[in-house]
Amino acid sequence: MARTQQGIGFAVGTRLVLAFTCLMLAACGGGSGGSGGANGTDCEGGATGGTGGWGGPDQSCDGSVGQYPGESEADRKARLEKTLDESVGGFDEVLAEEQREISTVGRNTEGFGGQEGGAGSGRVGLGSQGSGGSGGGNGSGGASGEPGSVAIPPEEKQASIGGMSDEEIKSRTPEDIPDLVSEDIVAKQLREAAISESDPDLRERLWEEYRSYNDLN
Amino acid sequence: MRTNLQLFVALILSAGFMSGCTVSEVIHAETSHLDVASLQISESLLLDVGILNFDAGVPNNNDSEKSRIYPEVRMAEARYLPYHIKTTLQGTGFWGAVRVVPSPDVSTDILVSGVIDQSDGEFITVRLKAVDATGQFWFENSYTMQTGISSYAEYRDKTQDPYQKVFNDFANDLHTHVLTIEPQDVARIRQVSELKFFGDMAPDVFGEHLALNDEGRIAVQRLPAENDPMVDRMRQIRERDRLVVDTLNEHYANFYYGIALPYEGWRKRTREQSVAYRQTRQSAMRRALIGAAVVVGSASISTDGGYYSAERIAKNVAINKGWNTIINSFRQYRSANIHREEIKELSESFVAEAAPMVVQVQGETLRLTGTAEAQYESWRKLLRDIYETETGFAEIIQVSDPSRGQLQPQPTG
Repeated sequence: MARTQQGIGFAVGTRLVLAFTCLMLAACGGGSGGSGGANGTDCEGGATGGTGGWGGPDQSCDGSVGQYPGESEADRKARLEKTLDESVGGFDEVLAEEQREISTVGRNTEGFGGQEGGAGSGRVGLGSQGSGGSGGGNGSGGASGEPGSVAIPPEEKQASIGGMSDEEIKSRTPEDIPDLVSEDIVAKQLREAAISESDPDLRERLWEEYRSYNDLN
Repeated sequence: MRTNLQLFVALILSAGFMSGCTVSEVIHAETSHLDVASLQISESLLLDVGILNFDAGVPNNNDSEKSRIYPEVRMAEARYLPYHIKTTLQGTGFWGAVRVVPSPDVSTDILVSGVIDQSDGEFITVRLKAVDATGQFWFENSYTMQTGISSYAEYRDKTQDPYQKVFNDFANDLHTHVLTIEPQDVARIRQVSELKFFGDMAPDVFGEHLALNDEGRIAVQRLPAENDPMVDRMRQIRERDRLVVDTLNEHYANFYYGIALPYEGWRKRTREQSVAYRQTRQSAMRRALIGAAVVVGSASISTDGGYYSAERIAKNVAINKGWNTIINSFRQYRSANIHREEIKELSESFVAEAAPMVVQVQGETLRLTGTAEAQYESWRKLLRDIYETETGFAEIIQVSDPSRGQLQPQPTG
């Protein structure tokens, strides 16, 4: 529909040229897709020939979006990217509406001692998703406080070392701590916890734990 | 003669005593500790976990009357238990996003699947399997436990499911396994799950980044450039894919909270009836054995006196008592069926409450996944066109036949 409306503007001028082209293609054995109206492609009968539709970007038989006549590759790319962005935005709205509907359903948490379920209605959002590197590791749509949940309260969690400069990390790392290439997960956790700890005493205790874990004493 | 008389008296007394006694077990709920992270783990080391709805484990030609397995109850459990595993795993702090996923094709780092072998409120046995995105089999274990009366007590910590031991054991096993994996392998699993999604959405761009290796595992052949604009687009879309699954999980959560109370009620009362059924049958069996022993013992003892001798009278009394004990045991055995009937009624009552909720959540799942898949299909086309515009390649690709699931690791385990 959108394509048809977009195309109306300059359909008249190009119609004859395109019809002629399609007729030539059909005559050369390209099939009979052709000039059959404004709605685009006729892919029946195995035809791979003529493109249909006037004015707007054509839709080929394999489902791809075609190209406006005279449109440059850069323009086409920009248009397709815009279409993708709009489509993604539209889908976000669909999901947001879905979540609004979900949020209208009250949850009976009596069976869990009256504790509110952390999956909390309508709490899901892109904001809660970690986009990180190669994916994964993203927080799910709000899960704290769910039954069975014993998650570490945020205030008890250590700050991330992601935002620290190399100098800052170096200043918080004792000289006897080597750069171990093959640290396992526990050692890595200990190292990160020690570096991110602001209290020097606690930090030293964590480093001591790290030394002990890696047999560095 | 005096010895025989004493023996008869002992037999009669024991038969009389046993006919009146009942068996009562002392059942303690089994528990286990859940390992939780004491420190926050670096995000780069966290793996996402997807949990499939369980296989209900209803045998073919199931006779609910005999097996006490009610398919509709199992269907509800097959959706409830995975969600509780999700909440348990989330609580450990060892994992990234933990979601219940509608199909094995959903992009995730670790996929957990399970089969319910037994669940009657008293005993639970589930077989749980974990596989990572590369197709590497992690483990498959059978988890079982017996609940106690305290499992359903009003005063208990209600955040803990009566079956919590099973979930804790599984969560601990999953954590134990991930500790054996090197950080670079964790990164590799994450890369593979991401590239699987990329390959599904844009097979012409990322279809050859993964391949099966000699061991039948999915291996990374090459990585896309981090500054590739197509990677940004794919990550943008992958976020939507996660959002779809998170939204689905909201529906699952509604189901979970909605069914929790009736399900616990069903488990509690079914457990009581199961225990009573088992104890009644055991008691009847013991009484029958005692009765048979009294009859056989009495009959085998010879009596030398006349017809009216005390020994003969005692013998006849003992045999009579033994027979009565046997007959009563059969009556008791039959009366155990009352408990089976009670279980049937409880199950039917629970099903009446749960079935509409199961149908609703199934409908929501189909609707949302259908909407999403239609959307993905249009994005695949757009992505292909963008790729063609960027590169000048115009390969003919079957966009309607996405590669999701095409690169399948060889099953192991």
